[in-house]
Amino acid sequence: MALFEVKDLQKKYYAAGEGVDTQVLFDLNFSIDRGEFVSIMGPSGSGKSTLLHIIGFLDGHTGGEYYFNGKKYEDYGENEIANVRNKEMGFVFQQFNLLPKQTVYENISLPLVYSDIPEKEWDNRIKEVIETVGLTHRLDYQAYKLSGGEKQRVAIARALVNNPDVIFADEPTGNLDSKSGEAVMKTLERLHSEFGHTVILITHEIATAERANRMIYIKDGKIESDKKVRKSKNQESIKIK
Amino acid sequence: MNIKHTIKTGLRSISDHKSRSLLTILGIVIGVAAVIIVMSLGNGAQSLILNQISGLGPETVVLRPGTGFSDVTSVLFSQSLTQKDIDALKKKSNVPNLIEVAPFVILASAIEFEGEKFNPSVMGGSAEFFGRVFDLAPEEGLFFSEADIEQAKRVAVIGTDLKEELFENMNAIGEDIQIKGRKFKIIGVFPSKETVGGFNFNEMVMIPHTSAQNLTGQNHYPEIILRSDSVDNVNKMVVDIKVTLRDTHDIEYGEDDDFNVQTQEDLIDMIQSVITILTAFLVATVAISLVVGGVGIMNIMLVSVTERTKEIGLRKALGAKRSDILKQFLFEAIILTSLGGVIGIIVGTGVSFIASVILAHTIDPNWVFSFSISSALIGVGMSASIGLIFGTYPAIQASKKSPMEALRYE
Repeated sequence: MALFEVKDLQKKYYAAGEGVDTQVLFDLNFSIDRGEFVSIMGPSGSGKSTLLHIIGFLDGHTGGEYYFNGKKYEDYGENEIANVRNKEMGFVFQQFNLLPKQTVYENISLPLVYSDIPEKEWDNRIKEVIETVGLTHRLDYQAYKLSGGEKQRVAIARALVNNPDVIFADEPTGNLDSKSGEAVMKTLERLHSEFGHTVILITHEIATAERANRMIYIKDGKIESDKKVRKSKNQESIKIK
Repeated sequence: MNIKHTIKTGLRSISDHKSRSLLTILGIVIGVAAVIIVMSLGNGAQSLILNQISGLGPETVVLRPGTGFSDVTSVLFSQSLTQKDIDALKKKSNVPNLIEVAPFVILASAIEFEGEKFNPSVMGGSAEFFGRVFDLAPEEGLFFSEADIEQAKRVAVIGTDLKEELFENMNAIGEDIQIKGRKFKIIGVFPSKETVGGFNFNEMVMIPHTSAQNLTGQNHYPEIILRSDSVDNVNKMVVDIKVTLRDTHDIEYGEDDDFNVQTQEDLIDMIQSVITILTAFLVATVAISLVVGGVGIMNIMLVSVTERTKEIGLRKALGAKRSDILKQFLFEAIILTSLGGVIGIIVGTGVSFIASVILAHTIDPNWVFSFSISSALIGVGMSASIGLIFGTYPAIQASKKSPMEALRYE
């Protein structure tokens, strides 16, 4: 059973007052299995972020069907949706979205606050994920004092803390210089290869998109191509320390 | 999210925006402080007044012309209580429990000393009686006797403040003062005493009531104090007094009394209820400022919800339920207003303490500072409910936000 499955998925926006609907996604069909590393690529305005919001339970669709874990989107109740976001999905945003005045530790603990994980386990989990992203020495820093790359790695740690199946990364390197971007990408690759997370990456850069194993190319709200990425020897040899 | 983390999140958000939080709760602080101050001063005034009027003792009653306390005109102008009534009341067969009758009149008159005018309160009554009731022994000279009263002698006992004003350190005994053009000889000086039973003896000139009546040419009394042989017999005595006076006044069955008898208990009840009503009225007025403070809270919370749209979106994306967001903002409002309540109680208590110290120095040394736990609890309760009432709408607005739109918000 596929983890995600969409059939003829559509999304329209109703522009109030104008009386005209804007269609962003047209009859998309694909499925993603557990453990895949998929990039969704496309120029800006292609609808890739909207797609991520829909399959990430942050927004609804207006046509077609969407199944998560074999269950239809419409069959999920409001609290169930909150639970899915909390336990089974982790989000990494282009804008990091950390609470600036809170410490790294507090930011990472946020998904735990909304979970039913016993409080005595929190500390271990937080220390584990901060080690995964290599920022143990920054745990007590307030988020606004970190560099962009560090912020994004904290965001990844936050996405990981409830040990979700899926990590969604929406242009995670978009606001970073190439060096920080590379560190973030390496972390994402490791989450997939070492820890077996399903990673769904949104990007408009072909080089970033090719880091995944499968690339779905979207243009004007339609899937143009959906193919496995052939990795060059050079790319395959990238190892993370 | 459990309660502990909801409260922690609320406190965190308040401390992250210290100055805004402080400004937000200012209205609540002022409102609660005002409630505390009004209640405290109300209690202080009440105990002061009760202290002053209860000096007559529980076994005494006060007889006045007119149908009741509110019947001011008849108290001032009625001529229903005369010497004839006193004589009837004094008969053992009429009122067996009565042991003492002390009529008194108040003279609206200035006094003259060495050609200069002064305005003390001039009272016609029995100096011995008041001395007994209020535990006053003459500081100098003596008090005039029953015989002096019967003979309507022109003698006077004066208060210490008046003596100081008239004679400074000189001897007053034997000196003459003039009241309504007649000479009165000073034979005694009251000891210094704070106002008791409504009487300020320090500023008083007391002459025999018979002499006072001679001055005015009237033979009725605006007030007569009567004393029973024991507290237990007060109610029986009141009945006997009423029966006797209805008889001497020829009041037919079914007609109302043209006099009224007030026990000390009645008086205390009445004053207590007047002050309670006044205080309640003031508290209600002040409470309006709390509502205004509440509207301020709502306003700021709505701004805060808009400002933190992105945070709300993020929390939802990370798994917050609608109820979690609702609780978060509601608790934040309640914590904020309760904090305002606590600060208000501290400020209000401080101000009322200072006020009572000032009042004790300026108005009456017997003014005591009063702090009641109940008013503090009311303050906290009110402010927390205001948080709950005015925080609900912004919290609902926050919880309704869709995570995607909230995350996009700039």
